[in-house]
Amino acid sequence: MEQERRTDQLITKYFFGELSDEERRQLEDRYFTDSEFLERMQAIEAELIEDYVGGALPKEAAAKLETHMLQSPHQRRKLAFTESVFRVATKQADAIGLPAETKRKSRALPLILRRNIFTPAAAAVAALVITVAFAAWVIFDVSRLRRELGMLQKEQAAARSREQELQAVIVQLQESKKTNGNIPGVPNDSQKSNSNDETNAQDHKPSQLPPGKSEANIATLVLSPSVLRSGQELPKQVQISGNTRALQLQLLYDGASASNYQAVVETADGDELLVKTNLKAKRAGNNQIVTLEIPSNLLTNRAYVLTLRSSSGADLSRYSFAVTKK
Amino acid sequence: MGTTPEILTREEIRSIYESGPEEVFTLVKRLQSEIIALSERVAKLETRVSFDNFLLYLDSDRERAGERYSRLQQSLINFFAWRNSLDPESRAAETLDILSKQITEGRQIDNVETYCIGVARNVLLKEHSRAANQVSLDELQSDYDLRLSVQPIDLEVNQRRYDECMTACLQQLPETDRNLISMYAGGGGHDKDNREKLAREAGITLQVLRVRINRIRGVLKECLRKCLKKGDL
Repeated sequence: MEQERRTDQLITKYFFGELSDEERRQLEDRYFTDSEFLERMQAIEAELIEDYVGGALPKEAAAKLETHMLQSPHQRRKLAFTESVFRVATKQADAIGLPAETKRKSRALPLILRRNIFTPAAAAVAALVITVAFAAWVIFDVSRLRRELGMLQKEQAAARSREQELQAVIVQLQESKKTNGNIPGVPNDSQKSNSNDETNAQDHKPSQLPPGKSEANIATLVLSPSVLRSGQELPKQVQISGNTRALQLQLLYDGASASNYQAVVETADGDELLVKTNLKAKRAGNNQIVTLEIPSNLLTNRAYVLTLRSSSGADLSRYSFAVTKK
Repeated sequence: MGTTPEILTREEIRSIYESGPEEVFTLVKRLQSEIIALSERVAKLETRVSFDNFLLYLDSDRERAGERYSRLQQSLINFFAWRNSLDPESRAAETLDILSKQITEGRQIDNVETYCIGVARNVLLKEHSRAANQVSLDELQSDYDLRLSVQPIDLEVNQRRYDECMTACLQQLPETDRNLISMYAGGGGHDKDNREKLAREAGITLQVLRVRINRIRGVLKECLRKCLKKGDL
């Protein structure tokens, strides 16, 4: 790289007439025997003339160039060539819509169109443009349909998950009725108090229990596994009042059954809150339900992530929920 | 080209001589012009033979020899142009002519290119000394000044034609080359940032961009030369 730069400098000096006789002789010998080197010299010469035409050369350098490079008519023709390339190519860049840094001139029709508007070539170009435009529209439309399909698939997955949750709730209701006639989330006699615990198994928004009914001091939340691996979906929310003792989580899990499970609760930032081991699962239709309780004094207003693991510590499923404390 | 002169017998010549001085004068004039025409033909044949010998000396394969000859010619034109010769093309042709003749005469040259630049330096020296002998430096300077002052006016007059040719030549370029040179010149080719941006977008190094642009320039110059049907650019 450094060598390249030095060679460029040497060539530039040649054009400015700043080399000694010996250096000049060596350079000339080289470009006579090395065609790539000659090409490089021609390129640097052209760039210097471009710098001159574009006004990028310092005054002194421009004067030197005039003295050593632009004296003969032959060299002056190179100058004329560069000026013409700049003039015409700039117009072409405008006409074909290429971004040019030079100021654009507005025209009713670009030069190319004005010249070629009624030619067979123009007709072919027009046909090509229409074809390309149609192809672009088809690609765009397919892309739009794919996006819509993706959204529908997500909605379908969410609905299926919701269905499973409701089935689990029904099973639990039936079991509770069989055993003691109580409904989860609804206080039994021994639990009757002024608690304001609320459950939210219907939608993502917190909901109140019907007025007039007593509230349990254990809040219950049924959770389905997170659909998205990234965990970017909205977590289920639960409101906990001051006298709620604990939050009961019922985790739906449709994987292979195990003798016992572990649950690790972490904040959304990754701070571990608690670990519960030796958890048992109950079967509910096609699902298993793992139940655990978290003391409400451990919970604050924030989002949590729960990881269900096998007894050997392998991750089975992830759940998310958010707590709002009143 | 003149016709072959008639071969006259001694009697015929005597008869012409006796018929009067006017007839003799006409015959002598005719013979002179025939000799001049013949000399020209011989010179052209010699040049052709020299050129063929030179090509053969450069390479036994005629195509490769032609390419090497072209490179030599290009190097010479550049040499004379960069050393401020008034007429680089003519001086390059003169150099190649000297070289061809020397090879035809049997001179052994180890490295044609190296030898060629030696000959070119001598030709350039001769041009400079000729200029010095013919006119004083002041006169030479005024000659340059005159050329320089005339050139822009000449260009201004021809600019429209020149730009028309340039537009046509740009149109003849392959689309990628046309876009590249348009972006290059349209974005201010001399601008370093523009060069770097173009190289980055094309996924090539600055050096490769430089070579590619230079080749496009070469194609444009050749096209312009044909379009304008006059001197080299």
